[in-house]
Amino acid sequence: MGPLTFFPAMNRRTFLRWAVAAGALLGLPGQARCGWFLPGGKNEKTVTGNDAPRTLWKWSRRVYHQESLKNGYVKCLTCPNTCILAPEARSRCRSHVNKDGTLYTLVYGNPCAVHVDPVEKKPLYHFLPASSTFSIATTGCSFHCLNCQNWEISQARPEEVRFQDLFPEAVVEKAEKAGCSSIAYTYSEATTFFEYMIDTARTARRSGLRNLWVTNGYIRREPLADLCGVLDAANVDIKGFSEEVYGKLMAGRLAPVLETLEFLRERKVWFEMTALIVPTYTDDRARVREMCRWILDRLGPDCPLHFSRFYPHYRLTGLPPTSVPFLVDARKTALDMGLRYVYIGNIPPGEWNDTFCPGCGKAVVRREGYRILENGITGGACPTCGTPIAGVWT
Amino acid sequence: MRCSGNEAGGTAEGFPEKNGGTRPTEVRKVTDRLYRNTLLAAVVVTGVSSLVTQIAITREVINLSSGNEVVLGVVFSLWMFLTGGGAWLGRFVRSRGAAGRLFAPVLWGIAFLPFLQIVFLRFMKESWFTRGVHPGLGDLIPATALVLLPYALLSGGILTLASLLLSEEGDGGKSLGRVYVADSVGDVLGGGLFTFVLIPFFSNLHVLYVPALLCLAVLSFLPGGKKGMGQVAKLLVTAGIILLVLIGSVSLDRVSLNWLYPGQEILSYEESPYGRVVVARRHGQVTFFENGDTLFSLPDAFASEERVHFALVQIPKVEKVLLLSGGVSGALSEIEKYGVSRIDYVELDPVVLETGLSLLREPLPDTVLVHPEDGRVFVEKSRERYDAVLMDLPDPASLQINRFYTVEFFREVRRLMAGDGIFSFAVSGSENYISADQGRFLSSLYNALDAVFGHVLVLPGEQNVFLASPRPLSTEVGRLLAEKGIQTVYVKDAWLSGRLSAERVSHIREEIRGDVPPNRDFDPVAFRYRIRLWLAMFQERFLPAFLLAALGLAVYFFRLDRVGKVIFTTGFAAASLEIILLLSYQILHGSVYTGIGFLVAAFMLGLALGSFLSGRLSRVSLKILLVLEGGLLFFLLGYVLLIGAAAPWLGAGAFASLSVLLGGITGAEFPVAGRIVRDSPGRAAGSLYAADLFGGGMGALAAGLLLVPFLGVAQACLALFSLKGLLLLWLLVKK
Repeated sequence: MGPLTFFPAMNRRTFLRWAVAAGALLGLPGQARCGWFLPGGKNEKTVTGNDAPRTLWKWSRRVYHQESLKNGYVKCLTCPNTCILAPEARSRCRSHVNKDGTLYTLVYGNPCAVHVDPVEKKPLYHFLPASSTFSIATTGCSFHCLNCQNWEISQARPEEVRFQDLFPEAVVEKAEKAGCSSIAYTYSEATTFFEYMIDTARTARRSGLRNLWVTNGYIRREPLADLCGVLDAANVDIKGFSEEVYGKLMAGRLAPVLETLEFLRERKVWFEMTALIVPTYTDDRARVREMCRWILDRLGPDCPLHFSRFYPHYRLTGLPPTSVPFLVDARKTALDMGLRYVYIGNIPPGEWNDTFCPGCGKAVVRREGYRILENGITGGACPTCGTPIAGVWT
Repeated sequence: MRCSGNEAGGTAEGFPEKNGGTRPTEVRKVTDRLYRNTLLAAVVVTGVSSLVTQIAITREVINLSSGNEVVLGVVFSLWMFLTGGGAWLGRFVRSRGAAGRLFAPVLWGIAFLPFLQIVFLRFMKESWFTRGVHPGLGDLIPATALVLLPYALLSGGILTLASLLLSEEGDGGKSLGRVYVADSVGDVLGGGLFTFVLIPFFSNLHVLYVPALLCLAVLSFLPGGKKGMGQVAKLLVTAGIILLVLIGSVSLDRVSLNWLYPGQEILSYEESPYGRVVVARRHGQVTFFENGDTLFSLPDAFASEERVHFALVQIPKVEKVLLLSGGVSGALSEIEKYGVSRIDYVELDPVVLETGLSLLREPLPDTVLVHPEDGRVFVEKSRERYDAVLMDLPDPASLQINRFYTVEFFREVRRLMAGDGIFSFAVSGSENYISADQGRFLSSLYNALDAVFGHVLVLPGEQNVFLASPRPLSTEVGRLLAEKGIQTVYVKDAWLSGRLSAERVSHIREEIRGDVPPNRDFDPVAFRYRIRLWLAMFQERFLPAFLLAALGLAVYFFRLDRVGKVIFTTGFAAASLEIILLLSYQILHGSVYTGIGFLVAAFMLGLALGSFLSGRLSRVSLKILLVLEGGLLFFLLGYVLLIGAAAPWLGAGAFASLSVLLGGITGAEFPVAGRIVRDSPGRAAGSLYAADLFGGGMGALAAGLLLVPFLGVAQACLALFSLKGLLLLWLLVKK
């Protein structure tokens, strides 16, 4: 007697019934989480489902970069995810919906986070030091970073959060009232509220305020070109110099981010980079060298690089914080290779927060935390040897 | 093809065949004492193995998933469901011959599958999940079910097989009762063995040697002829011994542990009564992990300064400080900066304490008195007066920790506080946005503090720091530090300007709502919202899966006969109540694992006693079952009254007595039910075990996931009372 004979009589129909039930039980949560994605073309995802709100609301606007397709489908052209949305579907970033064959944003004028921050907190060390920036964010992100500090807004839908009613004119008015010299589009991923960002930036420009973009750099060329017209500075994350890490930890891709950096350089928009060092994923000297080599070759030595310490957060809590000795070593590696301005964030104060003149080696800006202890830059140059210090100082 | 009788395979040599055997003369009498005792011993050993394995697996899953009561509830209920499935499948083995042939291999599987389970779980960390990521329930449930499935099916199925093999004509279902008693005795022994003998000395993998050896010992006693199962059993024993030697020689434990911490050098690894403490090094930095979560890294000036200075800077003079956890991560040296005369440092986990102290570069100052014990117990019994009580514990994401964040505990802290003293703790936050649930979570803690202290202040950040005192509090921490001349690295205006701006401080204050109830011991509101925040991280929608599972169970329940319904609901109520008892004990007396093991053992003892006594009844009827049901109802009401009126006076003895009583009532029902059911021994055993375990699985899930977090202890008991009461009414009406 074989072992199967101990089981009850099971014909094909019974087997199928059990298989369907088991599949449903085990698979449903995963299916729901994935949002029923169907494969599209290369890097494209067709999003079906019926996830759009029944009606649009006060904070909806037509998405600026989109392409109409057959059968009421529409393609979002804002970020490299290039979601193809079925009628009534919602994009991966959760901010765009397809209503009657047209793509609408649901996050125009309804920021859920509004704060006044020191510009050094973004971090931007070479842009109007000691100034305050009016920081806004709506929900949404093109990535799904497992260590996101702002996951409650970046991974939420606009309808799920509490927000303020703050259209572009009101943002500018508030920023001026708060004594800020700039507006930062930050916290979540600003590219997902592109229409709100660019309209606010245009209004801000007219009022003499600067515009800062704090981003994962995941944006397509056309919207980026539009944005560059009103952008004064950016901080772009390099979350790991590896496609594998981007895929595993961020559900994104590195190549478009690097393209963004090159484009910003080409358009002469001031930008700084933040490189997150995640233990066991990117705390590897060879990888740091590879990244620095790329920066030197493609962007030049004057782009400031901020190494950022990883802390266990959100779902990535089983890793240690980044080793401080490794960060110090990474900074030294970057400087030795020829990068001129390399900093380390989130660790005890030391020389790694100061700006040194690449000509004479003297400290020209000394910082502690978000405070400027001393700023000796005169006319954008070192007061001792006159070497220009890259950045926007006035 | 369905197996029936001996048509398919004839008689297994060495095993008694009762009905229709082809060679009746070779069959031993079922009264053969050795044979029966060996079978019962196998059930006892299975009980030992299943409890030891259950605890070991649960600890592994906690290490994978940053476990809380939800994860525990899921593991326990999966365990019971799958074991119930095994018992149910056992129903389809109709003949003693088939049962006899299966028995030895099944017992061998019970001996060795646990090793495979542990190793596979560790292997999954890197291969199934993403490194460093704690999986959500959507990933964890299928993975855990897959790992548990083979063992649970075997350990459930063997109960049914044993009942069939031990049954005699005319015994009126008594064999079922005997197996139930033996299984319960095994559980008692397993719980005791794990808690008191194994875990203090062995690793999570090595503890499995004991049940494996016991299984092999029983296997070697299985009777056999020249060529029959006895030979197979001996072969299995030999193979088992070789396997155990192999497992030992390849350092499987260490090798598989490295899979959990890839890229890190493991400096020390120890199982404490509270979890696994691993100290690992990467790029010169040493990090402590407890149950897979990062506790702290050395040095971590940021965290230790934050824990100390926000609070101590607020009061004019600091003489005596009570520090609840966090001493080894650097807080002690920060407190010393205030020139204190004494620090009482209380650390719950002796392993964290010993390992941490051994890594400290300098010896502890003379002012520090170390107390390796539960912080709440220490506070409740202390007669000292402190200027400051600083608490450095994880978020109240488990009921075990929630007891440090309640009105009841805060009152005890206030009692210890000298005149204008200060109390502080921190919980994780979100600097830029406060969600509705996060707001309610913070409000519940704030309102609990507000009920005890005159002034409460929340300082926003990635960690929201709570300060409470009878004196007014200030957000100008940097200025106060400068005035006192305390040197710090992080906690100073240069860093705080981006965190404690007036706008951010008022923003968090606006999110504190007066209408959220304060967090309490037996109504854990903060825990409820913290669990909701935890679940929100995974963005999983369980409703369709839950509805489907609920529908399946409903169909199963309504297809049960009356006795089956009683057993199912008793399994449900007993498992829920036992968890409620454990959680109540934990709330009042601390997370003392030995105490928990003691209570589980007490419950199992009651179970064994109850089933043993009811098995000796000469006659059984539905009336007896109804009386026992009534007893359970009284128990539920009585417990609600007891918790309401005398909670602070309920000692370990009282909880042990309650557990024995609950176990007694539950255990007594099973043999009675077994004798009422008019069915073949195998089918009756399979059906009733399945009903009991399915009910228990539901109960474990419901108590940990829904009843206690969302209703609180008293209302959870009343909900169970309603459920059992309705069933009793139905039974009376149908009678």
